[in-house]
Amino acid sequence: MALSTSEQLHAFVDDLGRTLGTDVGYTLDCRDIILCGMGGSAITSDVVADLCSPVSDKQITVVRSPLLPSWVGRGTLAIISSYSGNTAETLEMYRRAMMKGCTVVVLTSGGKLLEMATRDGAHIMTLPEGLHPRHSIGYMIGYTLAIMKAAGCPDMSDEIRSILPSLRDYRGMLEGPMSIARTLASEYLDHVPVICSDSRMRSVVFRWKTQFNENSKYVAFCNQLPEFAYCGLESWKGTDDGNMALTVLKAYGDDPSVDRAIDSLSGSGTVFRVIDLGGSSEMEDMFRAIMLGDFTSIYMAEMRGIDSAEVKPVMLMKERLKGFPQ
Amino acid sequence: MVSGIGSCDFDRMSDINVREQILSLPEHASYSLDIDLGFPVPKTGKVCFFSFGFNTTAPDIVSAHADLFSSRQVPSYSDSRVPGWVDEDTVAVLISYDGSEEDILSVYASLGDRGCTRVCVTSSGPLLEAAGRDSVPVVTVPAGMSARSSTGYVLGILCSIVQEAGVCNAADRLRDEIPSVAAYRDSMLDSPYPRELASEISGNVPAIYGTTDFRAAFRRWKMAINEDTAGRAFYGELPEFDHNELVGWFDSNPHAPELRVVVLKGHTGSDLLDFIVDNMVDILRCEDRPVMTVEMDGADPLDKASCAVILGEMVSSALRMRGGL
Repeated sequence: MALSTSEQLHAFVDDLGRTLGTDVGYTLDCRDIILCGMGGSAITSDVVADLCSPVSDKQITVVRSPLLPSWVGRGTLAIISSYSGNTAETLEMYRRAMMKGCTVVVLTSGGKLLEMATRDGAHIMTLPEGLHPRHSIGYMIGYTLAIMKAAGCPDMSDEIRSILPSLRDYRGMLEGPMSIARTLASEYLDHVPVICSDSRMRSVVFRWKTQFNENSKYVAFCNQLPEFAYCGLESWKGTDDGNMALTVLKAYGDDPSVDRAIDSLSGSGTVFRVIDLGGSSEMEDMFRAIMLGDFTSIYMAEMRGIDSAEVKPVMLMKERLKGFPQ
Repeated sequence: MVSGIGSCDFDRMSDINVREQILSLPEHASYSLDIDLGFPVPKTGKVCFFSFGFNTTAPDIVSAHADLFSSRQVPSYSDSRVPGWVDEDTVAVLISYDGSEEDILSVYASLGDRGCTRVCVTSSGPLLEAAGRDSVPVVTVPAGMSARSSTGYVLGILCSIVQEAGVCNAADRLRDEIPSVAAYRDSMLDSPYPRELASEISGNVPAIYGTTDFRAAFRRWKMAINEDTAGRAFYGELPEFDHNELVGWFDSNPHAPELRVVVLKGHTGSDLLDFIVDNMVDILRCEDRPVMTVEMDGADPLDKASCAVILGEMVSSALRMRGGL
């Protein structure tokens, strides 16, 4: 039986724990790595890239376009992720990666992608069916990290496993009646959420934005520091805008530009919110932030009385794509 | 080792107003393509750029060009942290017009610790001093300008560096494409189009979108509008938009009637991608969401994105003349 949205949200930490340290059963030799996908699948790629890029000796690039870069070739490992296995852009990425002679690993629950990868003898990691794509990221992060490890990237499973108990406690707080996620949700109603963080968590603020888009049906934006300090920050100073809600996520080990931005905004009388994630490591704060954004967006949908799972225009686009000659 | 453009050019440039400097992108690029870099660029396997703010436009254009035409990637970073893969076999180019941002100085130090080959593109400041002290090659751009108005100079220099590094023929391609960029700029100077676009944006908060080959341009539009109007602007990437943001924009969001979608469009080289972008615009319009589309010609970001940057500057300037957003 399919899980409800709140059950899927609850399961994130457990899904992650279940898949950490998976032995894929092979090693992968590559010069560079591309993580290919769209939407919720690409968010997983972003998170993994944020985790691995600082410590990996291989270039890691997230690709969100059917056009693969010209430098992709025989030395490239292409990890192709599509929960449904039917995302048009991702299918095209798969075809092009195969044509270019990449080593290909597919992460999917089924669809045409599974069919093609099976036919072509590509490596396949199968995801459980019945989840909503954007709520499958626990599985997808764990499996993608396992593939990255097989390609020579550092093993992060022990470090992530060590924070799972704390993440479960945090989940309990988010699900409780006094949850900060509920407070945030009520604050964001009738506002345009604009979320900002250290660039180390660029995947997280992008996740917040897309969760507001899909779950809450709100337009939202995100920024990352230090870039935000060079373009955009000035336009916020001294303002108390009626319909935009600026939030800065403050995390363990932040770049100094985060505190500088907060000081600069505070000193100018800007109305904005700072959320101190309160974890005991950079990694813990990253996962806490993902959970906080996910719960907030779902609570917003509940407060609006709308179905968080329904994404009518995305389905409309998929319908139109059926008319595109393959 | 300092090469670049001499003081006579600085004197000439200081007499030209900022807007003219910005719109002289093709001439600046043409000029800087002829600069002798003055140092051997290692034919290493890896090249990357680091820059912040308006300094990012030229590296983003060259990075997008490499994505289309090179067998080696040239990532462009706006981050104070250096990725793990950067090592002694990497040429890392730091671009900072005034050479004074704390973040670029921090990156400069980190890159030194990694033992990679550093190259600085700057006009002055602590970065120039540090490079001189460390005997790091510098390519100078004229003083008396700004990061925003030096895009053309930097573009030519970066194309020369990647070509010297054996990454791709970016310098030759840019030289070929400069006339069409200049022609586009001239046509827009005589056209009401930039003012019409500004008129459509005026009174709204624009969110500028484009495919990844336009990344330099949609980022530049945002920065220019931020700076010229002191107003807000945002940007995002297509076709990722269709998998999440489309849902937010599809809703009426009555609390934010001033939000306006701006799409930079051009032929992408992928029929699928073009189909998706066209349908995304149509779906939004069918829901009565106003979408402003800006059609750009060209296939190479050196041409297409440069033209879009120039147009964005004209639109932003027109917005400023109207008194802001």
